[in-house]
Amino acid sequence: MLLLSIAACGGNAVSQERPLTSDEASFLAEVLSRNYEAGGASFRLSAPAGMEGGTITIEGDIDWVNHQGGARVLGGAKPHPVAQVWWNQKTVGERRPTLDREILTRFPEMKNPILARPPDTSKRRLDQLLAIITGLVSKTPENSQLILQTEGSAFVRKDVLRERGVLVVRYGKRTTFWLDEESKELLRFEGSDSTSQFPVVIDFFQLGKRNLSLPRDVQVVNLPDHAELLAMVPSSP
Amino acid sequence: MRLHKLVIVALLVGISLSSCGSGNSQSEVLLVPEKYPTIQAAVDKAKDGDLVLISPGVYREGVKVNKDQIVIRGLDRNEVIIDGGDELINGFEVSGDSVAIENLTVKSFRQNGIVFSGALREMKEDYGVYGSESNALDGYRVSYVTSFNNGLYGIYAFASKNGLIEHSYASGHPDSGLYVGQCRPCNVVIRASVAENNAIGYYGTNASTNVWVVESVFRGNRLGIAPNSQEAEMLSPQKGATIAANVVEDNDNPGAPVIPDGFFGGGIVVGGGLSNLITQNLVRGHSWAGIAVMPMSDVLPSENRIIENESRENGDDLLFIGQPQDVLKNCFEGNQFSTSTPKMIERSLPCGAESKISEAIKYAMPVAPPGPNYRTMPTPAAQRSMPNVRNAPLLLPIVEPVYPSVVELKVPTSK
Repeated sequence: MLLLSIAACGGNAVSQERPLTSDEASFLAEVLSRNYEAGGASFRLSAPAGMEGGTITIEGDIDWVNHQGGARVLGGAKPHPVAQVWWNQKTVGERRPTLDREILTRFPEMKNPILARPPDTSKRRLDQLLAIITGLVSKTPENSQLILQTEGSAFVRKDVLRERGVLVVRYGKRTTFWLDEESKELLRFEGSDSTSQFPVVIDFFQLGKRNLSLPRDVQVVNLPDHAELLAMVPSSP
Repeated sequence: MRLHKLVIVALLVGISLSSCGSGNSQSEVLLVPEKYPTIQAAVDKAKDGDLVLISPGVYREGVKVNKDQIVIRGLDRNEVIIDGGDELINGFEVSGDSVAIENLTVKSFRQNGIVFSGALREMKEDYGVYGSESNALDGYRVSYVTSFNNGLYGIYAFASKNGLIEHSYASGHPDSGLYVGQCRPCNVVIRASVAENNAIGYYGTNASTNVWVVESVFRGNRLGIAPNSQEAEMLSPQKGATIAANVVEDNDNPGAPVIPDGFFGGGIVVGGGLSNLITQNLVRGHSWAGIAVMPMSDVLPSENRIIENESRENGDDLLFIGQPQDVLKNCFEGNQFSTSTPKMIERSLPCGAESKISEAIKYAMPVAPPGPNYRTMPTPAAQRSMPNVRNAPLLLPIVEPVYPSVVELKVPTSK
């Protein structure tokens, strides 16, 4: 399951930590299915960009029901950083402004070109991050009995986030959830890999249905059809 | 831990409801809502041997039962309705030993209709693996209960032993209607029950030793019955279930709620289970397979015996999936069937003789079609209530259930 395979920046490990109660485990078990019921959210993700260092920030909207999203990207890797991204389960569309001239040379008729390609979570950091955002959803609840016995699951603390009282709980060793005690919404997700070198923090805002689509004025270049362009963007972001 | 494990103690407490009293001076009848406004209030007040008796009505509450040795009974199975309103989590969440729930309906909870769990108790010391002999909820019974349209399981026993689920009904769940998981020994009997229109009828992940699913009906689910092993949970592999004398039909219902990554179109599927006995079942009308034995979660099935079933009108009536070296004494014998993979399966995988499979048997798994939201599933028809409910004895599940005799179980009559 995604929640266990991605990872965490471990939360604020203070002495308040203790095993989850059954109510807290049930609360946690509901998080992803409540995201599905909400339909979508605005989000802001912050994470190390990859092995080359730097921080990437992704801000946009996620449609959890249809597994698609759209966002601005800040801090992408040079020489051709991604500035905007749209994605669904089959395609990632990237806007890389520094490649516009190259693309327009090849396709003079194009306006606002988007480079479209299949997702590649094994090699592309951007795709990994998008998969985390998209994967924070489930049609059914988790099994709270299994959460209770998962090593590392714990009550971390109660806190206040954006003026809302939150329950901070950890699921396994690497994922931490900040849950609005009143609305039961997911307000923040923290995860990291097994090395803790790549913590991811995602804040969610304004949960609700989203109807996302590509902007009308863009045109899509299917990147796999153009090896020379593909070679210019061997990695993301 | 109980001290009288080896003694058959049928704790019969006479109840005279007309006087609201008790035939046993140590037991009490707690009336809801006449004396206690909620079921939870009555449960919180109950002592060992007490009966919580619920009058007809709709109760919008989830009940936590952390008391031992109590019976919770509705006066009318179809009119005592515990309703989660798609917002409350579990109908009954039981962490106490020897609790029985009888003669009521539980519906529309976000997770489980009823859950018994040995993992719910406060861990004061390291008892070891949940569901093991020394660390399991001990004693549970569900009788004449209807559970429908809950968000996970209908009736669920986890890390629990010595159980009986009988005369109960589960429908409209996006996971399994009836689920026994992570226990060894489980010592559980499911009988005379019906699971229909669920993603899965019965699921038994890592449920081992004295697991009996008998004389029940699994109809119109996406998958009928599945004892299985999963390494992601404790106590893998699954071992030692008897699935017998059930009607298992038409479990390829796209109108049932869908489970993510779920199977579709199987009657009885042993997924990575060991030493299970599948016998005397009537299995029909499955687009994929009637009875299948296959690996699951990297666990190879072994020593499963599929004998004397009537399996017909299925894509494959009998199916084994695996490598030649994986046959591991799985065997098929004495079944009535027409189609199988491998062909002539009873010659390839006979009981009591060496298998003759020479090539790997691969099989395309069926693709599950989309399904409806479980919350939109229809309300089931009224179910038969518990007989003599006002004067029925108070039977506490304090010992192992009585196990069926395999020789007395027969293939249900075809209709």
